[in-house]
Amino acid sequence: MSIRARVAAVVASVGVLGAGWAVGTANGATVASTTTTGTTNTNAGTSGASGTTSTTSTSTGTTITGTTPITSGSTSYKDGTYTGTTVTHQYGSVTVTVTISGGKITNVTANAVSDGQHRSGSINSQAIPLMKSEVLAADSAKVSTISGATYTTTAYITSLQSALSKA
Amino acid sequence: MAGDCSDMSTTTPTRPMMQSAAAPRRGISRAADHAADLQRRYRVRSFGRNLRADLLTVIAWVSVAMSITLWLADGGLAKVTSLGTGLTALGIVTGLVATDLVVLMLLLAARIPFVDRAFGHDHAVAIHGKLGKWVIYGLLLHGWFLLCGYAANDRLSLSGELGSLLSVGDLVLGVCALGILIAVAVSSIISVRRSLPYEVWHVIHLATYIAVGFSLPHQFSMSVLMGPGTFARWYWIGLFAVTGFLLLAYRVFLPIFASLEHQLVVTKVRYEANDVVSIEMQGRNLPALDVEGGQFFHWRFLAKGLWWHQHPFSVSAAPTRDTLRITIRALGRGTAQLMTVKPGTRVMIEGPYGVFSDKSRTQAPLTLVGIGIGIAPIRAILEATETVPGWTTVILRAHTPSQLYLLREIQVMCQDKGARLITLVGSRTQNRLGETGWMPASHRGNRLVDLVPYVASSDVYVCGPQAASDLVVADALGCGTPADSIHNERFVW
Repeated sequence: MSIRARVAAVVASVGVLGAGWAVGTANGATVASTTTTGTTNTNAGTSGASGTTSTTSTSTGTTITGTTPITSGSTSYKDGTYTGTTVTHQYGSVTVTVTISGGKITNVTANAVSDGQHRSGSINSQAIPLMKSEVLAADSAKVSTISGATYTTTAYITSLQSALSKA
Repeated sequence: MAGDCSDMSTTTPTRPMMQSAAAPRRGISRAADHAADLQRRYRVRSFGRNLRADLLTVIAWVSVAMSITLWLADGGLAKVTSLGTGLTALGIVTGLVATDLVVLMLLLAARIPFVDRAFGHDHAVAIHGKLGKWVIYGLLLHGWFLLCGYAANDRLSLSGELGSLLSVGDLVLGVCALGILIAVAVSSIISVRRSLPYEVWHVIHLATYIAVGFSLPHQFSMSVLMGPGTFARWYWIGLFAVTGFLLLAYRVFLPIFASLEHQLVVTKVRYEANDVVSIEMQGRNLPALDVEGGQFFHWRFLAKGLWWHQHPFSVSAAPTRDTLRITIRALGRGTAQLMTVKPGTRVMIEGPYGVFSDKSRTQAPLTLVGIGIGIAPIRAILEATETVPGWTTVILRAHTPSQLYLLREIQVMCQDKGARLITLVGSRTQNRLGETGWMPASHRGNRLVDLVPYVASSDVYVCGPQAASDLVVADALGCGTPADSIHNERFVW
């Protein structure tokens, strides 16, 4: 291998890797920013709920009010058992059922179906109990996903949110 | 003509052609013109060939970088948040790189003419062999890192994680693929030591395709990076598809079509010396093969007991419109059987391969060294390549005078071309330092430059048994011949 080839190969490879890294971090940044805006919104919702304008905000937009009770947590749920929509993800699907008693989340069960491949069975059996304890502790859908089980837990949270929106 | 050239040799002994091209000419000398023109042409061509080799090298490196880049672009680094995810990331990257190296290995073994001409068949196979080691290391690390990473993520023991992983069918296939590849690597290491027959090695090596086939399902079903609808998925599918197409085209279909088209049949088997025969074959439309003297084919003689093994042999004469000739020596069981081949036998061919020919010339002066049966390809090159009278030396080296194969033909050719012929006969000797040299006792202590004064500025072609060839190559390097201008094709599978 000539020196010319060596230099050119290193330069080209570093360039390609740099491009990949740039794209990766740019995508990561957009993901991060959407999560932050998400949090800011819910924070706004929380402050709104605790403040005087809470009633107006709940009455105006139904789509927004769906999220407001979840984030404000403690007081807004009606007692009962609610089943969320079945959320399909790449490696299976998750359906969350939540039980509200005394305005609080007292139980949450999930029916996680794996496609029998991709370790999703073992991921589900690990992740679902962790999610349950997190949800019970937070008393809301404001829990983070579990790394290594991103698909399952993201679907879990979405299904849980839809269940809580009925409560 | 010869007078002109010897005149040049007295004025510019070290870099004859460059000097003669640049120096003002005292008179019109056709030979010098021819030499300068040849020098220019070979220079341009060798520059182009180096450029091609460099281009392929860069593409190969970029393909490795690309496999990592697609993972980076997918936000691979951002997912690293703990020891478990870090190990998982390492496992993914080692797997991607190893897979890319497998693709490169397949392409190097596909005998693609562009690759063959840029690197030379033997060099391409040498790179293929070197990459093999890294593929095995990469795949072992891939498995180990992912096992540890998943176990950490799932909070399971290693054996527990392994159990849960092995419940996935695609992964079991992947593990089988790794097992096969390790077997292939081990068989290649053993066969380098010559303790494994070629046929056994060949069958084991064919299992590589099974291994690659077994490894594909888990790559596309288990990898999130290559999940449905991703760019990476299409990139890898495309890579595998192109590689598969090139392999099928150049290793299977083209050889079959060439054999069917050219219809080679043995017409003459001539006794050359003890254990050495020339086999002449006749066929149709041979110029379409574009063979150059010094190149080789894989030959398969369709006769009882012979049809199932093929042998690499160089042509021993520049091909004519309808004949090809090889000169072979019985060196093993297979080649011994070939001595008995009868006229009328049909022949299948794969080739031509190799750059041990006019294709790899870099300069106008030429030194050809044929050792033992290696004389046969040297004869074919001498016949086919352009030479400058007075600047061409042919050295034939053998143990006994009877092993100076094709001597009569070569003598005639040397006379026609104004080439000097030197025959060296006898056992190898040691120099004063006790190192074994390639010269016989009659030339003890001589170096290549003593026989060929302009060797430093000439192309040196060496063909013969590897140990002796290596000595000649070392001698030429020691005499100042640039490595680029030394051509020694190794017989490889």
